[in-house]
Amino acid sequence: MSAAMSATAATPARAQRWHLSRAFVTHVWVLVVAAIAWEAGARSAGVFWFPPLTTILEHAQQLWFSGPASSLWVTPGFVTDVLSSLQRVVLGLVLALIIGVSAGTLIGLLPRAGDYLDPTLQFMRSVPPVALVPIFMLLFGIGSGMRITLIAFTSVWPILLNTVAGVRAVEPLFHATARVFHIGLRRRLLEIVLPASAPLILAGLRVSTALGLIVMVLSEMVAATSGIGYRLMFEQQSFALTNMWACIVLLGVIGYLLNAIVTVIEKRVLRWLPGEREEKT
Amino acid sequence: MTEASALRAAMPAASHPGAAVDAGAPGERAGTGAAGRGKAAKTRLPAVTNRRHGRTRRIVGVVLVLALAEYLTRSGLTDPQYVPHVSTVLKRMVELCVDADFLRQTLDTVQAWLLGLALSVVAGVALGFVIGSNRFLDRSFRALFDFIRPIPSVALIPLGMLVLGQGLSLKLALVLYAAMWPILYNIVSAIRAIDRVQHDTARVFRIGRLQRFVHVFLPSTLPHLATGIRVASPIALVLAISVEMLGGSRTGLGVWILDANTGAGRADLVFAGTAIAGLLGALSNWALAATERRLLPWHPAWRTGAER
Repeated sequence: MSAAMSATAATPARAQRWHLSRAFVTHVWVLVVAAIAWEAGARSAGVFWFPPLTTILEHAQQLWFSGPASSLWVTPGFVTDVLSSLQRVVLGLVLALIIGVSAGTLIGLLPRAGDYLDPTLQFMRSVPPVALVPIFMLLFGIGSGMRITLIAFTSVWPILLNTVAGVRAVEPLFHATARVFHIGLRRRLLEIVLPASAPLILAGLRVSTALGLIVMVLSEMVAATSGIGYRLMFEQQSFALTNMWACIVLLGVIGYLLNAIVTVIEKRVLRWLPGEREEKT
Repeated sequence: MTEASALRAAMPAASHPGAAVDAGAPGERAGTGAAGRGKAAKTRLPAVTNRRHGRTRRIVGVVLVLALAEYLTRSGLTDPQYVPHVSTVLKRMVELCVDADFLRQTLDTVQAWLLGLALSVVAGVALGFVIGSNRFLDRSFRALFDFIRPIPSVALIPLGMLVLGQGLSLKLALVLYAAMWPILYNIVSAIRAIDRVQHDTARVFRIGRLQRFVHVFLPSTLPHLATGIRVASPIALVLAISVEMLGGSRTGLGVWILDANTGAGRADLVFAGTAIAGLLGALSNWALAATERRLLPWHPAWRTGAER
């Protein structure tokens, strides 16, 4: 402890590393305890809907990772369940990002457009995604396209609204400077407006990612033939509780990874931002 | 964090006079109503004028959007069997407001929504105080929550159906699972943010535990709690309706929409019900924000959208 303290005083880099490793130890410690508690609790309780963690992981391996080496150890089930789901959520989010940022920038740059559109946007993002499923099925059928559209439609609002806020918050002096130097609209957008609003856009993307995953699952729970949501419903109808748990754990892992990816993107894009270097929780 | 948390930043920023410090180039401003605000600043009553102008623009905006949508739905671009005219949907919405069956089912949803939200507040505040008052617990639980929280709430519906049945308890459990996070996180960060000096000063002056709670703790945690509730409220509504539509409930707004779709095949009713669900969420958000502004005006937290 005291050695570590002196290290803090000596070099910030080492101190930070020490800090990170300590955080890592706390993380692992808690997770190990939680896993053991789950295992022990489930074994002693013996309730059908609360299987031990190891059994769940075994089932998950059976379901998705017991394929031959030629297919990288994944099963055909992995392709229909996991890959199709991932494809939908990623495509939906990319669409949401493109539409959200471009529309948001436009609304943010146009004077007063935000005031005119605010109630509409607030309403749109308040509509429960699940209630849109019947409407989207009427409009787009029950294919993968409908699900991607639904993911994009519901997760576009956080990005869009945050982009509007970000674009509006751009330091007016930047615009004035750009004008003085006769910098064109294109360069002004790419080199001033977008970088300045990037922190808020990415915060929106983080919210949208969590939302996109939720909408992915719920869209697959209705009239689907593939995806994790479909698998979840299928296992429920056959009372395969452990397989259901495997789906839930897998979704947790995917959610964690998606969030981690957004964090990486955030770190990359916002490297120049002073506050970004501190550790964020 | 969750859905609305980051969005919150959007609109307050828009109607925030402080954001419009004039840099001498009014025509060049990209901000909201920047030019208008620049002028208003010279007439001395910026806030009032802007708010009124903002309101007019909002109303005009809604009317324009509705008119455009009406035109589009009538233009033959879409099949009226699938996409009803906007005027039809509006008419249905008005009719539904006096439809006994619809109101009863909607009330069921509202009941689950509010009960679940209340449960989330109790659980979030209690857990938040325990976790927030101890650095070690805070760090440990954060790690655990990082793994639990990404699990999409709707994925727990099938499991919940088998464990809890298909009644109110399923709705409440899922609302609790999804809506607790924003409240919990806001409470923890509020406790973290309590001014150390304030705390110590209170102790130096031997101010009692209760007094300290009332004068130090409450003022600094309440705004965060309010933010947490405002973020949690639409989540709770969405979850209640999701459970109704996916979890085999017997009554509720979600069930009503499903019936209108599969039973009656009435697109106009589906759109109207969905729109009312959206309005409920938007209204609750607006009402909570207004309450916050009125009750907690001393704290700047709600304006800056600081926590995300």
